[in-house]
Amino acid sequence: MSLATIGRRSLLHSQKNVLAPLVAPFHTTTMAQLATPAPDPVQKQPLIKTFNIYRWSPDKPAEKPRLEKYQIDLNQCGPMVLDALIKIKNEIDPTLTFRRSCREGICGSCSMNINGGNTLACLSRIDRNPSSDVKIYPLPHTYVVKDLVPDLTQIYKQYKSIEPYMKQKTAAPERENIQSIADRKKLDGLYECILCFCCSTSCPSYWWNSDKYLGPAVLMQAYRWMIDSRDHFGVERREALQDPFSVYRCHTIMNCARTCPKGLNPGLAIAEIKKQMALDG
Amino acid sequence: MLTSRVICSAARVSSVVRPSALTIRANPVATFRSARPDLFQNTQADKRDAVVGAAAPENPGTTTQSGEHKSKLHGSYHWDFERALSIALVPLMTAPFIIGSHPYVDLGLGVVIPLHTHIGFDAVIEDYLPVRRNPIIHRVMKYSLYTATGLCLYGCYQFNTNDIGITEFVKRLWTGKQ
Amino acid sequence: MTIRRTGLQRDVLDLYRSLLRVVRTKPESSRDHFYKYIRSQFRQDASSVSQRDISTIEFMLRKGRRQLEVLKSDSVVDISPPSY
Repeated sequence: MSLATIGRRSLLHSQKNVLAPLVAPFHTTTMAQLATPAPDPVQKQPLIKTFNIYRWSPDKPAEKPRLEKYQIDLNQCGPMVLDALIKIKNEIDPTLTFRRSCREGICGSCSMNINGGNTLACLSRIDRNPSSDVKIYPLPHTYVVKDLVPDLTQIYKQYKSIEPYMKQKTAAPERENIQSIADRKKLDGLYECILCFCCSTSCPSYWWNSDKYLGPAVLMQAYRWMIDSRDHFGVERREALQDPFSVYRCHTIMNCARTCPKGLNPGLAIAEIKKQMALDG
Repeated sequence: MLTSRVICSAARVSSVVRPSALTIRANPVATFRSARPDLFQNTQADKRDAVVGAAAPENPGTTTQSGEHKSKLHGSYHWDFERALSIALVPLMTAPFIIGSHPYVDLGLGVVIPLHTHIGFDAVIEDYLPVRRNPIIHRVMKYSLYTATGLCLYGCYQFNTNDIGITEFVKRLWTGKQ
Repeated sequence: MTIRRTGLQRDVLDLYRSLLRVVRTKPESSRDHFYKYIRSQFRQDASSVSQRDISTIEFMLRKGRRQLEVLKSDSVVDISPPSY
């Protein structure tokens, strides 16, 4: 029998060191590099973290909201708070209610207050210190639909009111609306907003006057359309904000820029709006 | 939990885009253009539900989305004035350290400081006691504020004209000398 | 003799009145269903909460107003009784 046939039979009958019969005569590092079965993996010790989560149900509206504690083994869980919430919902309490979709910080569904700050749960890493608890609340100063789900109808109405679409005074061009690179650059830092509303619900001015003050999220989008060179209604858009409340409740508290999970700066956009409104005359 | 089913008929979509309903704040002479006009077709219900923010603007030409009367005086002009006062305060506060007590500086301080403070307190009242929520106490506080500012302006004028003046007063207060 | 009502009571009555007004714009055949639903809901909610529990009453008012907005829509033409 040839060496090749021996090799092939070995292939059929054994998993380990399949090539050993073929390479045995050669004293090279190849032998040392052959795969060997690994020893059993070491099991990690459970790392238990407590989550304090705000709970309230509209089915029993007379019951006051409460904080419920859940214990999670972080070594059996993904790194982000959203992973923990999903694990709690799957394994411990299926009634826990929260919004979620993309799990990668682009849809803006899972915005909530984690340890005092407004962020996206899918981008918020769990602190691996087992002695401190994680506190999860819905977005501050919003009506709560259930558990961690805030009622965003008013914010959506305000967003609609600024007419967040392109408006032109001339006929639409045959092909593209031409825009220079410099003009396109003006939109950087504005178009990336995912409308998670972490900023608006972190603004104290918006807490106290949410029905009249538009809030940083909506104002940043208003600015995004104002400075878009393809839009022709910039002056009219600014005129629509000429009252003491829509823009001028902003006192540059800058909680918005601090809390934005996408690293954007709504406070700066609002300052630019104020500047343009002053220069409009 | 008992639930009822609400039965809907097929949605009635109007076949014509109504530019007048959509161009709420745009120049009425210009026509509204959009990349996707089919997105903005209105149903009867949409027109009735054109409530935005807190109150539906009765007249979109003169009312903003928040239901307030559109006014540059209360909008950007107010902001311009507030910043102008703040900027004026910089030379006014530094001048006394350079040239000492001077009647014009005292006049400036006696006008700008009360007005600056008035605008600050006015913002506090608007923020925490807005008229739509606290009609009575809002008016009481505003009235008190205007009275206090008036008294302050008059007092500064009196002090600057018939007494030692603001800068000299602060100097004496600080050094404790007569 | 005029009955003195609190602001909250007036809000509840205003909501009830607005709902009844909207029902009048619905087709004749289904108006009875709407009236039955609204009356039974109000009675049920009123008995389930104490008069002093302001926050729960306000929550129910908000929910009712939201349902009023849905009801205003032209496409709503009937309501079926609750299924047991």
